[in-house]
Amino acid sequence: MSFSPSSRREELGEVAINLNPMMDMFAVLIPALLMLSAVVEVAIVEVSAPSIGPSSDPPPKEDKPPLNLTLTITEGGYMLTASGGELAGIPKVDPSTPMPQIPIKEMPIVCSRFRGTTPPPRSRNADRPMCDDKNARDAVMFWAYDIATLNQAMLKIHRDYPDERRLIVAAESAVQYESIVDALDATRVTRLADGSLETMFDQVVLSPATNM
Amino acid sequence: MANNPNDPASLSNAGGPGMVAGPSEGMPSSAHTTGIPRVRSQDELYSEMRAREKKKAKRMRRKTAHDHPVDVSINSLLDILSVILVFLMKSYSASSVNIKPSKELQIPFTKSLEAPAEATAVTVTLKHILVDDVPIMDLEEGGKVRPEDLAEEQMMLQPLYNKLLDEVEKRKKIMQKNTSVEAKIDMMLIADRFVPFELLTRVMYTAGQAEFSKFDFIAIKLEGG
Repeated sequence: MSFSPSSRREELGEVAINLNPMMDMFAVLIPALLMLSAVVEVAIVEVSAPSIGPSSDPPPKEDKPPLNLTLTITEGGYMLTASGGELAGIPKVDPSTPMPQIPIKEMPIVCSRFRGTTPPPRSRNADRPMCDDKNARDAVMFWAYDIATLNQAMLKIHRDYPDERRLIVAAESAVQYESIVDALDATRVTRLADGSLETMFDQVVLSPATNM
Repeated sequence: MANNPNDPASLSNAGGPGMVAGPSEGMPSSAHTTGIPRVRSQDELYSEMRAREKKKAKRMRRKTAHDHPVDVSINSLLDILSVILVFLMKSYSASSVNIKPSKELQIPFTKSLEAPAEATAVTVTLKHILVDDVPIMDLEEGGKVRPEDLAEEQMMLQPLYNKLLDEVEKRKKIMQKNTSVEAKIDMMLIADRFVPFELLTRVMYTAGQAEFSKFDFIAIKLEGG
């Protein structure tokens, strides 16, 4: 009896822990976390509200008056005005009959971003067939804001006034949020021919709707 | 039973076909007619028995392998899973914005590459306004504000203003206690693509009154920038 230590040693040796419950937990936790983290990747567009009342910090004294470049988004297109200078190549807006200098255009738009709806301005595209899963990859003719032309115009203004970074954005009250984000995208940065990004007007101030 | 080589009956049975086949292959006809089976040599029988035993042993071995539970080591699998779990947890906590686009909340796209920072999240859809995922206001059809929600001056949204004031108070308290935190009161605006500019300016004006000055419009990052 005393000569049988082998079984004792075996008992004391490797203890098999039951890892199955832990495996079960992991198998549940990992899909749950994957689901939670698999949401869309987002980015931000910085905007400041118009300061109402006296500003806390006085405006810096400058040699030249600010350009006060204003982009007005209407259902008919983009309007660019500046109180502090001339915008070369962009006709002045007649205050009595304001007409957008960059009007909306009918152009082929890739449908994938607009499933179940139409591109803005939606009031103009109300009679068009909506984008759906069937034509998601096609380019369909729609009325749309001329974002590319706005981008080019902004680049030109940026070259004329390289120190100006402030842009006031106003819009008609019916203009939808999507159009505003699109316009902010076009005024904020531009991709140059060599692929680099050039920051243009990144200090955006939203001004209240023009016809409220 | 029939295949048991130790059983003499099964042995003779198993040998049967061989014995029948044997004579038909050119055995003397006398043996066939007399019905006496050809007596096999001892060696032949033994080799047959051995072969059968070998086969059985092989079968038994295979059977025992299946009968006993096999010990698969899941330790390495567990290691992999725990590493994945830690990475997923890290990436989950890193993203401050957690947006689930739905039919009511279709977020527009942007080419911007700036990552969102921690801020008070105000969600605006055509039906509700939420602050940090808590519904604060219901809206009428098409994102119209109900008259009773408007403040006296007809621009501000009263329930939203009250809630945002609380948020600002909270943030200020945190900043007093923890001076290492950069003092800023920012707002993250998560809005549906169909929200009209009028509603947007009302929300921003209200937030401005509650001392928010910087707004981060949240949009889905377009691939390729």
